[in-house]
Amino acid sequence: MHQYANPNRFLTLSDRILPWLSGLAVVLFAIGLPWALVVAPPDYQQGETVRIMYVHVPAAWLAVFCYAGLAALSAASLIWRHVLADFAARAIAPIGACFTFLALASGALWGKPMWGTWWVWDARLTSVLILFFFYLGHIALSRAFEDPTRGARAAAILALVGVVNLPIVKWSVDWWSSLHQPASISRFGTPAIHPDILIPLLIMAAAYFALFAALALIRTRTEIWRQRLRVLRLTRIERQQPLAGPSRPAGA
Amino acid sequence: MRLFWNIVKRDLRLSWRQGGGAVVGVAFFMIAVCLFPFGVGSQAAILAQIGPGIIWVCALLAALLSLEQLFQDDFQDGGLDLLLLADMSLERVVFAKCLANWLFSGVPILIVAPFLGIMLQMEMDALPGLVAALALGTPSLSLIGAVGAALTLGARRGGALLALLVLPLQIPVLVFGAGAVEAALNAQPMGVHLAVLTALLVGLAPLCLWASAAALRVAGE
Amino acid sequence: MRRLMSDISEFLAMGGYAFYVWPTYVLAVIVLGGLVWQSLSAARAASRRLAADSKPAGAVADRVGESPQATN
Repeated sequence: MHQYANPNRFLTLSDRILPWLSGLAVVLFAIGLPWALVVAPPDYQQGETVRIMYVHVPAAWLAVFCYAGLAALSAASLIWRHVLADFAARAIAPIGACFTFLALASGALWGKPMWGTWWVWDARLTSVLILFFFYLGHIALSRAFEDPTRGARAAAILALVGVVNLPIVKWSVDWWSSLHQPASISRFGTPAIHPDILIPLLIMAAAYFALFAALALIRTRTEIWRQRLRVLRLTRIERQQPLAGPSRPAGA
Repeated sequence: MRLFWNIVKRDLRLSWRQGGGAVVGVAFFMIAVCLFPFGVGSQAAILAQIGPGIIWVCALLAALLSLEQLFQDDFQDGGLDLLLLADMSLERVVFAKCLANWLFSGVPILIVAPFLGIMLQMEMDALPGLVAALALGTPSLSLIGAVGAALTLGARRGGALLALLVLPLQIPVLVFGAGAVEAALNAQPMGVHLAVLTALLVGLAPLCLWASAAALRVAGE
Repeated sequence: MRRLMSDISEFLAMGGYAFYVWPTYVLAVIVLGGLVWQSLSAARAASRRLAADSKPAGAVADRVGESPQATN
């Protein structure tokens, strides 16, 4: 039972933390959303569209942060063969993908009023798009094998390769973007960081982080339960193998 | 050292016997490139402008074809286990197989590309640059592809999954490779591009060899 | 009253950018809310199935691979 020792501790710990974490997320969103939509002033240049930033920028931050977390968990999985790291990685990849998608979609909705087109191949958006593909690959690979551990290990290797490549890709895209960008489009910049704008941004970012943490715990618990169910059913199949006579305890 | 070259020769021989020679991969490369005029029109100006990109993207896609079975045979007939026990480090084994893969699928692309460039209305002066960029870029494609091939060994929908994993990682090679050819077309120096391609090749090689070997070990467990 | 109505309609108009600002927030609610909902329902299903299957072998039908409905 040694292999379950850590996941057990995680289950009890997360059981205690989760209500507080969820509550925190709710409170932060309850403060952040009205602040972003009503209280915060419109931007001098961008007008009311600056409110899109309160959705877009934290989503982009979380998208990158999630991938960094994925890379850290992957390293833990490969170095220490930590079962919990495998569960957590499988759990948070879809969360990261969702944040990335939200960043892309809100980026498009921000770009249209700003630059007149729904999609702009600027450096930052394009890098986020490629990050989205990294996430999709990770999610697909981890679920492509019968044996979930094989999937977890393979996905861990992929995540480490990805995290090294990500700066390279970002740098290439920056270079490529500066080459092809028509002169009229300037850098996709956030407005000058005035405290009136910074504070709601940070609150929304905190809300996103709390949401991520709560979701990560919830989904990791699901993975642990699913694995237990799998093991339970496998041992039950083994016990059913002898057809004649009463069932005897499995030798394994 | 002998084992290294034995692996290279063996892989080349196997690929030759199975794939009908290098013809199929190159044929795909040629057909894919030739689809574009049908799609975008045959105007010389348009083709010349997007020519470098077309050739490079099709090179990436053609490279995918040969990757799926890079480790497949060894995996299925048990040769993988033997390789894992071999005297040579697994990374060097992967390197040997990547070299064979490049010789088999990358070099034919180098040979055919100038002709395709002419068909896409590229200027003759830019053709040497095209070949040089491809020569520096296609080995990286094989190396990155090996990572994908090793990771997806025995996976469901392995071929499509391989493409999904490998193509985003190959974007830097694509960007600088196509950029090199465009620079040549605009009579600009391509030194920077070729330098970056070389740096990518040299820098990515250890990472890709490590990752491929690690993935093979995971597959062999 | 009219002041209130015009304030609200001004707020909804978002300075003319309503078409971009509101879909952004709606999308955020859909994506994040959907993620929360899916995570919670998957967690609930998994824990229920595990609790049901963890019962002693006699209590659970010995059918391989089936998930008995939760009895709670």
